[in-house]
Amino acid sequence: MSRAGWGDAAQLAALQELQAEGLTLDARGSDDLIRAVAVTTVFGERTVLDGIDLAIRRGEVFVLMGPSGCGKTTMLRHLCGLRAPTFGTVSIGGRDIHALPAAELHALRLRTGMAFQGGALLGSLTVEENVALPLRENAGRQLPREVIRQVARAKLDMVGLLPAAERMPADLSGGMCKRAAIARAIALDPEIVFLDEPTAGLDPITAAGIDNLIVKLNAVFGITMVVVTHDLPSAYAIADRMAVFFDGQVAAFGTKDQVLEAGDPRIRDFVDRRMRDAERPEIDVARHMIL
Amino acid sequence: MSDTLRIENIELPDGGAELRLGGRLTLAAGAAAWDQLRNRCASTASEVRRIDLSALELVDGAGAAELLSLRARRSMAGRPLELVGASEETGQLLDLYGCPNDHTCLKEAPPSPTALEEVGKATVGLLENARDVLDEVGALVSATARAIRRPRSVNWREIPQLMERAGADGVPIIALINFLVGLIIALQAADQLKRYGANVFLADLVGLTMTRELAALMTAIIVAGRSGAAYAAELGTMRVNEEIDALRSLGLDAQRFLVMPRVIALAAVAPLLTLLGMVLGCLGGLVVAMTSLELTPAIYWGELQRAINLLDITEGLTKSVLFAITIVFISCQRGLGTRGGAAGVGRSTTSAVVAILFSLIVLDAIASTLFNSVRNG
Repeated sequence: MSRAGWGDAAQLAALQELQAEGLTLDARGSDDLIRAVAVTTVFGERTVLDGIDLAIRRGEVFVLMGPSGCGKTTMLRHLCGLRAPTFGTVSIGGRDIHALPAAELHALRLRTGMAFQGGALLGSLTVEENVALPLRENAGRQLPREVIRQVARAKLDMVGLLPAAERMPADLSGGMCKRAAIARAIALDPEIVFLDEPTAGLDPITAAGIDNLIVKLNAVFGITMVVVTHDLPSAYAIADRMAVFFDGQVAAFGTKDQVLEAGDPRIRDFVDRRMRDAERPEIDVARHMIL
Repeated sequence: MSDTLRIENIELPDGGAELRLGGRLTLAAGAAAWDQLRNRCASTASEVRRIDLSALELVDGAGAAELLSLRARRSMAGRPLELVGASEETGQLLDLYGCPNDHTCLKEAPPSPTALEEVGKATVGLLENARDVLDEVGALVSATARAIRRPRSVNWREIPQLMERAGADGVPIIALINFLVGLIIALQAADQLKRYGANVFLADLVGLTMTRELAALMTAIIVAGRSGAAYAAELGTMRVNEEIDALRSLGLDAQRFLVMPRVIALAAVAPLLTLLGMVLGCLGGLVVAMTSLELTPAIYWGELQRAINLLDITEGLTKSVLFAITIVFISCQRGLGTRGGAAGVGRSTTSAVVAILFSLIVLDAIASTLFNSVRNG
């Protein structure tokens, strides 16, 4: 991973200067970096999230898990500051992010990264330009062009996409899009990275590769990872701790073992149903269809 | 083998009747089989209590659904119907298509809203929309203020390409349209002017309408169709693909990053296109002047120079800038407000173009009134 190189000392210094400009994510004596209190979200008449309390520690891989439509992606959007909840607060480093003044929110965004489910790469830019975009736009005055290029290529190398640097997002496969999105999310060396379904719709081998990447980024750079997934094997492979969502509530919270031991019937069901699904021969249903 | 259903009546000893089905009950036999079944149930003298499926060769999903809904209808009407003799496979199929109870089985889809409801919803939507528009105006004004205060914060990189797409690429069609408009006005007026011997005033007529009014308006309409629709669709697709959210998460503001470059590009390009339109419109008039009013180019040109002053051209160019900003503003606002997939992008684009055309005419009326009072006052 260090093979790509981080350039000379001057370049590093420029990067560090950029980082120092950001908000210091000081947890003020607590282990909790991100804290959600009584987060409630109402869409029209539907309550999507109902009084969620969460605490995410600095440096851990935290997984929000649950079936589709349980509100976990909405929760992620609250946690990363893209959308304010109807009620409740989300604080990062002890400060309510939905009440921050614009300048500080901007500084916070530079200290966090988000990888969207579909990649959300800008279609008009190449993969490398997409990764370089946050550096170019937020640090354009400090950083010379070749430094930006070098950082972008280093990030692409970390996610194994260097050979595809010049390609357009439309020419990438689903897995490559997700990896490029992760590269862009870590472009500014954030302290927190939010990932929305990083392995959804991928084959098991590619998915395992992304799991591996998440764990590595966490281990090497100490990035706090907040991952939304409904992919059980993936959650078990990467999570330090997890919260399992059901119908807008947290059904279980803690380490993998704690979550299983919690004995919530819905979690048992979620876990078991998957196993049954995997074992059940699909041919049964298929034969009825053609009869 | 054709998909047909055979039905055989059997009287039961207790006074009821049984229908014994044979052949195939499938999607291909669908509507005919459904009528057959219902008619038989209705026309049989004694009440049909059972349907025997044992002789059926084939039942598919549609057939199972027919049997189940027939049973549900009968039981809702207080006349229970039994399905008997199903093979194991048919039984599983019936389970697969079964409903928890008769009521949900026969539940109709919610009726599509009536015209009155649609009008009500649209009205409420309009009010909500008005608030969004105000928000957007505020955001755009603050982005503009910031751009003036700190020109480096604008994303200049994209502007040349945007200018090329909106400007250079649109030159042929804009030139042609304005030329034709000038020609048409002249054609319509030529006869009348000739009758009064006022041939030379064709230059005044064409020159003034084109410079003050039509060059700016026609150009703006074409630009709305080319660039306005493109911006709404582009930003709408970005919204749907979460690219706008991605920009926000990277600390980039959509107003600054996407809207400002488009405002600048179009506000720079539109007056140039309009100027071109004015020239081409007057040329269109010249063609008619020479062919049906026996004017020479020199006379036409001289009269144009006498008739048109700087204020007229200023009016046209001012309008064109105003129109350009309106086009970008509305198309970007509709694009960024897109909800719900590909259909949403289509809706945004349509509503952007309609709203732009409407606003252009209203703005034109206001601007013309203002310039008239300047001219007279």
